[in-house]
Amino acid sequence: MTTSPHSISARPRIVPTVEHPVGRRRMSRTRIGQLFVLPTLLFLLAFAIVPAVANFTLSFFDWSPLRPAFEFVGIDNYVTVLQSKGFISALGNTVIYAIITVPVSIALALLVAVGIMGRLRGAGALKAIYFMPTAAMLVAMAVVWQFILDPRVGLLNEFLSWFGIPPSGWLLNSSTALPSIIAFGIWRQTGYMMILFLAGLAAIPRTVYEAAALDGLHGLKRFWHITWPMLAPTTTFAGIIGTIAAVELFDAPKIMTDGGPAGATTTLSMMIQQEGFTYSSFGTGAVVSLVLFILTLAITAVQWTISRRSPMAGPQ
Amino acid sequence: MKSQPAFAALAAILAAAGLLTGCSSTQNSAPAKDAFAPGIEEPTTVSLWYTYPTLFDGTIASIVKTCEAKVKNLTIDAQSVGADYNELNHRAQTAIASGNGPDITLEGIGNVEPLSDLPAVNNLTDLVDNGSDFAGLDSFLPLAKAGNGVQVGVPYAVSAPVLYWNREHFKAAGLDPDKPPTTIEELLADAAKLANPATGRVGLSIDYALSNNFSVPTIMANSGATVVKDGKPEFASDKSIELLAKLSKGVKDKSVGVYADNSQSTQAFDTQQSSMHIGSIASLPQRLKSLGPIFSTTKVPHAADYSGAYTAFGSGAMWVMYSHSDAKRRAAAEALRCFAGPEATKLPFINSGYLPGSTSALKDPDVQKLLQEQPARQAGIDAMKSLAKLPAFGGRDGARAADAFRDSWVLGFAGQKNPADALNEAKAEIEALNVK
Amino acid sequence: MSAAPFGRNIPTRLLGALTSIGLWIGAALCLLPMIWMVVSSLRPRSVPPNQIFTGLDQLTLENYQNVFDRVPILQLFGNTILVCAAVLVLQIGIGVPAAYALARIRFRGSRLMFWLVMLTLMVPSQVTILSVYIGFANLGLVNTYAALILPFGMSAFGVFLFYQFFRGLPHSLLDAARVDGLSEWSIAWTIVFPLARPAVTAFAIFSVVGRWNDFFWPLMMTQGFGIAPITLGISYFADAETGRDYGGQMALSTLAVLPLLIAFAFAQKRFVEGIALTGLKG
Repeated sequence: MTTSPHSISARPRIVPTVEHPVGRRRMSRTRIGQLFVLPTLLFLLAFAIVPAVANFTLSFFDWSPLRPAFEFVGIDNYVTVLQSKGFISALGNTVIYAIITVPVSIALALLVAVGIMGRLRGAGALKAIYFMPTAAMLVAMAVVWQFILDPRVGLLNEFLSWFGIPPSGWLLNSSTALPSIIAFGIWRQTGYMMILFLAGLAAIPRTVYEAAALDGLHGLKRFWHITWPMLAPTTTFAGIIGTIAAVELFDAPKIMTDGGPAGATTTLSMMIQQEGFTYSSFGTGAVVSLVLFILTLAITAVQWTISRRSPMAGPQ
Repeated sequence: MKSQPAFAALAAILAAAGLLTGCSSTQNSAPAKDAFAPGIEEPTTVSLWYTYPTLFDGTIASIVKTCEAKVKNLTIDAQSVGADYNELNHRAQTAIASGNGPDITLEGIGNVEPLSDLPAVNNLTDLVDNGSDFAGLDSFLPLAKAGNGVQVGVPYAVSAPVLYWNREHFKAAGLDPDKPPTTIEELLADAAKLANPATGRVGLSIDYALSNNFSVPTIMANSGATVVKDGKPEFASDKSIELLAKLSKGVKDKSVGVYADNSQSTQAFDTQQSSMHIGSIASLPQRLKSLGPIFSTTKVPHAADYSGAYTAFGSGAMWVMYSHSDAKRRAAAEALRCFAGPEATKLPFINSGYLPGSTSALKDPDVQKLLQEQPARQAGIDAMKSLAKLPAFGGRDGARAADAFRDSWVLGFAGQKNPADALNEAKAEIEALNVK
Repeated sequence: MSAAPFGRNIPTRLLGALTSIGLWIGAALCLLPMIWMVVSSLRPRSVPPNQIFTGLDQLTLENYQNVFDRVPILQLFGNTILVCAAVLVLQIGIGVPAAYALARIRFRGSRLMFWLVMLTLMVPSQVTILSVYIGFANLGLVNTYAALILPFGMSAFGVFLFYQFFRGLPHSLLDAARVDGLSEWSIAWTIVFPLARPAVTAFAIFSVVGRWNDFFWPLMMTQGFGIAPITLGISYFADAETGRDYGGQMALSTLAVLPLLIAFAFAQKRFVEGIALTGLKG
């Protein structure tokens, strides 16, 4: 237990051990802690740890439900996957998607949050509107975007034609398919991050700003030296959550392009499913799972470390 | 936590249990000689999963009813699962992994080669070679027989690709509505005349967006090219590249359409956004409903410099058996016999646009009647004479190879890659795979 | 709030106006797809979808009628609501005590436990689906609500949020209660957990939005429309064989999206407050 010099717990504490009137010995704190944590542990084991371990173990075998004999193949799966064109393409797509959507959503969200912060009129409406893309069901929005991006009957090409811009294939063209999915991702995520930043901004005490004003810090300088560092925990949180979601991207490309023209929008998690179910090779799918896991872990660790190193990290 | 070691042990046990239960779906052994012998001793339920409910609901229900009445002790639990073959197959796999899989599922005939390599699929050779039960499918059984001799499935609804053309569009464009194009060159020339970029109408739409689709291989075969030969990818031959280059030029000129999937390319013709269509004869009734009798059908065009015989590849749906216990196998075999009977095999023709099961079915009065009412079906009947098995990649990586070919074709067709490059790169990729 | 991050030394009026314009343009972009969705759902099927201004005078409910005919909407909604509610209850019931224990009660392995929970955030459902399916199948629970609810009973995100919140509780509060002679058990249930209400509210929205959107898991775990949530209904409409019925898809999408949007419009203030109180600020 952390103790600060000023808290009551700095003094030697006398915890009364009066027996419960009914006579039952009360549970020790440790016991209660373990009891509280037990259900979580059970769920963790049953639905996360055991399945994940089983899956990772599969990476050393050649197996599929339709080829039920477990055939040990050592690291063959690793060799095959890591060299395959499909894997490199899926890895590339996933990384590009994450590298673009997360910073852009954060930047846009921050801009919007800052913009909304200072105003009284319409703030509630704006907040609600910006959050709507996130609140709306993803499958429904994916279908709507697919409709809008349809090269023949979609709104976007029609709209562009008013300005004389020739129609594009969007989701049907391998060079514009991933950018379209990225645009969808940004559209969807920005509102969510905006809410995080609104909360983060609201938590900065006025006294800080008043002190800054007294020090002569205004405008961009104030933002850079005061606001931005104080938002660091929020930014880190948004970055980590956003990255995890981006790296695990599945639903949107599955619905909008099913992997895209010739794998242009296939992500790592889509490849996991494809290897297993379409190509009857759960072993190679498991290799991709492991890569996905390590990738997520790595990016999260990097973000976490950067945030801890920042001078304004404060007590964590 | 004090109990950490205990939990670790528990975790290890659960993990092992998890793997073992996966193991419990028994290994497939070659069925015994009389595995499919007729007669069921005890009441047995066979679970049958199909898809595309709008096409098959009624047909399957009626066949199931007749079957249960005819065969003692047999109950068929027929369910529509998933929206297409992929969804159905994926769900079947998870069910099979848990040991509670379906006995019979509907699969695409284009999947014959990849399925032939999987132990969980029953080899039905002994079933279909035995006597007259499957005579009603004599035209189609070879389509579901893999290169390695395994009879992967029993074809249920088979179709062939044909060329549809919209006679009214022909008239309006100054073309003779009774003279459809017969060569690729004519096809593209007509498409150019029929296209109307202002309204977004194209002259030609093709069903090309599936890896085991038959339209593209048929066009190729009738231009002297092939997709695969003796297990080796052959789709990057000069004739292939020439063909793809011609078609992609049409795409560039906006006389040939590009679509996300086959339902969109088909729909283009149905909504008069395309004037000609190369696709399956099976969706003919849908066409009649949308357009009325303003279109006709004929064989798929050939290249002008191709003088060989006409080839039409057959594809469609087949029943695959996954049962792994003797009792279930026999029951499933009985169910499949019902689906192969003469009354059953004409139903896909009557209830939708598929081909009648055998040449003898052509003499059936119901079939004759329908042919008279809907003369457009004739092109399908004609194709039966030239029906051939879809050239496909087999072995462990058959599905991957098929997808690689499809992807390269899609890129080359839509002009996102030079046809020669696209096809050659895919060919190299496939050669590195484990195909047969 | 006038404590603006930028202060006052910029031509405020101009900046304010520009900001307003920018914000409202952004808002329009956010709304545009949804507006188009609603408009398209109300136009007759015969109107070509890309002609924006045609058919606006012939608004009809035929697409909605079509949807109601072909898809058991109410049943799908019922399923979605049931699953989301059950999952939420489970996540709170399991997550709040666990987070409190991890945050405020030191015991052996609590740090390990915390990091294990966080690690599960990095394991997507494609990795766990098959093993979990096999487990449920052996218990005969496939295609039941249990298969849709139980796997999500533990929310790592929830545990994290509650953990942050409980860390922010002042020691003096708990110690005073202990000195007063309350048992740990009653401290937890009568003091700490009720305090967590704002965090629970904030989390509730994250949880519901997460489950509401779930597509892949129900796809694999259910068969037919019996217990399917509405996400599967939407993909049903994009059925390959029957072709693209855009009007119907837009109608179904509108129906799917409406409830949550309305709920959020009312709850958004609570939601933002809740997040602030969970201590994400640090």
